[in-house]
Amino acid sequence: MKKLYTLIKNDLKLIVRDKTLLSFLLLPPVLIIAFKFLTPILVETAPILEEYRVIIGMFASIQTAIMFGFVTSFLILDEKDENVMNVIRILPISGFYFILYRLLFATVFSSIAAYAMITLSDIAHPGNLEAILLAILYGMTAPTISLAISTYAKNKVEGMAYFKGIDLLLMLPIASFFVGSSLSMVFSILPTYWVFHFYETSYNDAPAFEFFAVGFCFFGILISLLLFQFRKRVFGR
Amino acid sequence: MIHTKDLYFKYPGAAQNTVNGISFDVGAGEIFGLLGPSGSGKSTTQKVLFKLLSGYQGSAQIKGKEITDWGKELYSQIGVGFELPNHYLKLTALENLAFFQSFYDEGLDPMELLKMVGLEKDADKKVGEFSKGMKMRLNFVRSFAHNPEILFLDEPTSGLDPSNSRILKDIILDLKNQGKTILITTHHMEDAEELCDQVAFLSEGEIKKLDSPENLKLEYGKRTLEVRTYGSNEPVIFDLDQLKDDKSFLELVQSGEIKTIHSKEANLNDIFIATTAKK
Ligand SMILES: Nc1ncnc2c1ncn2[C@@H]1O[C@H](COP(=O)(O)OP(=O)(O)OP(=O)(O)O)[C@@H](O)[C@H]1O
Ligand SMILES: [Mg+2]
Repeated sequence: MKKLYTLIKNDLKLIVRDKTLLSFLLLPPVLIIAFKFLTPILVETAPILEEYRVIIGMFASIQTAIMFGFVTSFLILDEKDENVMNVIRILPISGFYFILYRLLFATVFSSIAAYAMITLSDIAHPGNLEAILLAILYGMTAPTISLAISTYAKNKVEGMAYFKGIDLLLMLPIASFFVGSSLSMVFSILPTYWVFHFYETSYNDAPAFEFFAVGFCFFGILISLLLFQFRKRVFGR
Repeated sequence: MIHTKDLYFKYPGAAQNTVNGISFDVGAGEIFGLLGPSGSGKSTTQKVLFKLLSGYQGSAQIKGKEITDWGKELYSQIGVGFELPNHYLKLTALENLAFFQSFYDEGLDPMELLKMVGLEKDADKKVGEFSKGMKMRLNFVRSFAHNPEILFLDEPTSGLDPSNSRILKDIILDLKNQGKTILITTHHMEDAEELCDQVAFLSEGEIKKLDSPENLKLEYGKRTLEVRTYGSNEPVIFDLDQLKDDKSFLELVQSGEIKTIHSKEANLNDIFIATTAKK
């Protein structure tokens, strides 16, 4: 417990002393407020958007959820860059503890932020249970992003590029709502396809829980694979 | 304390072994020097010994227990001073030390440690603003901040000025006096000669020579004496074993013409070149 406290304190220092990380950490509440106030204005000026509320909700929630994954990945990238990873590996506690605790925190914070976006911003409310389930799915993007970036990016410049790429990939399945149903399935190879479709069906009062189930398993498998890769590539030698 | 026997290590995907069948023993309270050209496998050997690299062949033991049988508890017993500085650049020196120390049961006072290497004034400065030598000194004190029995030091004096290098060497000797066992690598042969009880010359992953610096100096040296006089630019060479009966030497001593006198035992630099030269 004392060690956990030390880790949290240390990570907070590292985040607060880095302008980029701090701003990414503060972005979710800013986004929530911005979407809360801007969406009604937007819908009023362009009434056609009323039909697309749930799409706006998907987009707003994913943007909110990914920030914590980004922050975590950059903490780890810094440790790789500064060679601190080697020191962590020779500590009498498992280096994996360092990583797992961060992934857990990032997941929890991402979930909370996504939940706040879904329920507080009044963009598109899917129902209470559905909001919680959606928040869990959105939260799972955090460890996915953290692990993908910190395993494969060699430095922070690459990390930033990866982040943009991953952000785009995660948003891409929104396109599935604008193409014919046959083409729509193409996007199912991305985990957020299942998240977005669960959101959409929930918002239209016909929640399809199979979307949740597949999304949950999809992220679960993806995270396990990435954890395995991380272990091999970052802690492996 | 540290024991290796026919130790081999190959990096995944490498064509050849980087550590190629080395055997050595470091007793309690000894300083053992791993010397050798850049790329000869010194750091690799160390990394195998503190389990940063896995998948070796042969035997490598710490305190009588095979490396593979050690778990994380190994790291309370040993301390590692890495070759390259590794600190959180956004944290201060003191924060860095305190953070890593918090994972051990035992610990020396971080401020005292900084004082030992002249960093007390920089304790609250971010390590990102440190010079290379300052980072290396911080690396060094962190290696024994948890008071381990065995220390691995990879080029601890690299990038240091002569006075700081002196301070570090005195601390290393002091740690030896406290009974610590130390495995050190260095490119400074004078340091090795001063600090080490035994040195091993490594070349292409093999130990070419292993002995105490004194023995090596005698073995590779010539038993001659070189005298330079004010009268001549050419030195006069005498055989050490014949010296007591050498009239011309005694005359030279009495003449008051002597500028310098040197016995020609080898120094570790010569031995380094002789033992590690590639054929
Ligand atoms: N991570 C790695 N993967 C593959 N090969 C490596 C790796 N690290 C080192 N090597 C190779 O192993 C050999 C020995 O490297 P090592 O770092 O042990 O040398 P060294 O004796 O410590 O040299 P120096 O005096 O320059 O520090 C070199 O040929 C190097 O290229
Ligand atoms: Mg080295």
